[in-house]
Amino acid sequence: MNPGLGLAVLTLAALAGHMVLAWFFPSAPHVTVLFVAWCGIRHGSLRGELCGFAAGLALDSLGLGPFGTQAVALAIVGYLCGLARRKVDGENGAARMVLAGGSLAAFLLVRSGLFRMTGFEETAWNLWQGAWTILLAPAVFSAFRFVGRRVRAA
Amino acid sequence: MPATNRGVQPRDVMPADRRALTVLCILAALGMGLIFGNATPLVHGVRDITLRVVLPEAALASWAGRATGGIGERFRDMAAAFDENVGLRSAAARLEGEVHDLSLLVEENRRLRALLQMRADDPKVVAVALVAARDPGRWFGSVLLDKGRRHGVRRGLIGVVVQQGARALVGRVVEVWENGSKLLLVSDPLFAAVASLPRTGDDGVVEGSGGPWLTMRYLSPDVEVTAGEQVVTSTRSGVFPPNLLIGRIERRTEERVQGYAAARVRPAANLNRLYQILLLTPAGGSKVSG
Repeated sequence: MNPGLGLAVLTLAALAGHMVLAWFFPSAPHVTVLFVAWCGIRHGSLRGELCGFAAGLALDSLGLGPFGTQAVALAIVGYLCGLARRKVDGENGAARMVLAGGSLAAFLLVRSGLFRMTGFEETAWNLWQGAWTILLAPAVFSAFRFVGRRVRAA
Repeated sequence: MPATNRGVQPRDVMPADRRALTVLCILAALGMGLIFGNATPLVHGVRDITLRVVLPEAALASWAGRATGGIGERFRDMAAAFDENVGLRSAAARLEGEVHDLSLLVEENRRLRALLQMRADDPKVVAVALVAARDPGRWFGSVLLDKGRRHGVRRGLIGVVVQQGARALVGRVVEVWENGSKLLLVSDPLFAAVASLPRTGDDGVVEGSGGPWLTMRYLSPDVEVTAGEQVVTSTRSGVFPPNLLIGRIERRTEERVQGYAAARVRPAANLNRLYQILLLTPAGGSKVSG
């Protein structure tokens, strides 16, 4: 499959996973942030930011906040993870957790800043969701890699 | 932990990073445009489409919620419209009453103007009296006036009304007291006046019937009367001023008294709408007593 198309399919799959998990488990890990981080670390800054922007737009479409905030935040996350690919071993579990924590922090920081700029009142962040995002990052990254290979093979 | 062994040449890295940075700047600018731009309809459209594609159940629930909310809103609107309708009906009824009152005032004003005009012209006018009361049991019998002896009213005065610029006979004062008087109407069975048909010059006697019409008796058997013909007080009447309009012939009746013909007469004055009565001195000024 075309790599761009494969990435688009993966993006949709990640979004679907995010929706399903968030629907049933409010404290479920932020799958989209993890996906964007994985995408940046795996495919570089350009694809990471493009996937982040697209996924962010999808999340903005489903959310109530100012349209575009999550797109910008995830694009920045994808870009930063792409920059980190040369210095971080994407296969290391601890490195994945650090990457996930950094990505989530960057995402929340940028999004919070944009919310403040627009005057939108942000709801309190679920600490359990942050914890699960960091703890499950190695498993989620492995799942993305597995699915990515299957998609590429298709 | 550093992963620098990917075989990427430095001259290739910089353009890719620059490109990524450029694209990031473009994406950030685009995102800022979406955030701060006035794209509310577009955003609503995109959100609606995404919701329908990604979460059809949620979209359905949202649609159902909107529909239900719409029904509730419609009910609220209907209730508000109902309240408004009640208020408007009340206001319309009140305004209708005011318009009616105004029309009555206009009519009264017109009558009073006519009365004033006629009173100024005629020295025979003694007073202008208002109808103070009326006996429902003898509706066409008599009325009580608000002017009495202290206003110059005496028994025998002639009561007329002004209709369309002409005087029409209404009755005659039969009782007087200090602050009021009683006017016997032309329709009372006790009322009688010598009348004349101006077209033919025939005389007769107009009498009340107790109802809304009069009867003119003692007409010549061979007289020809036509419907609508005027009946006026006769110049040979010693009581009523001559040529005062009494009414109009309605039809000839089959009644015969001592061989004389009779006709039904409709009074010129509307006896159901008596408000102001002009009281005149009778013919010759005689037969008047306090």
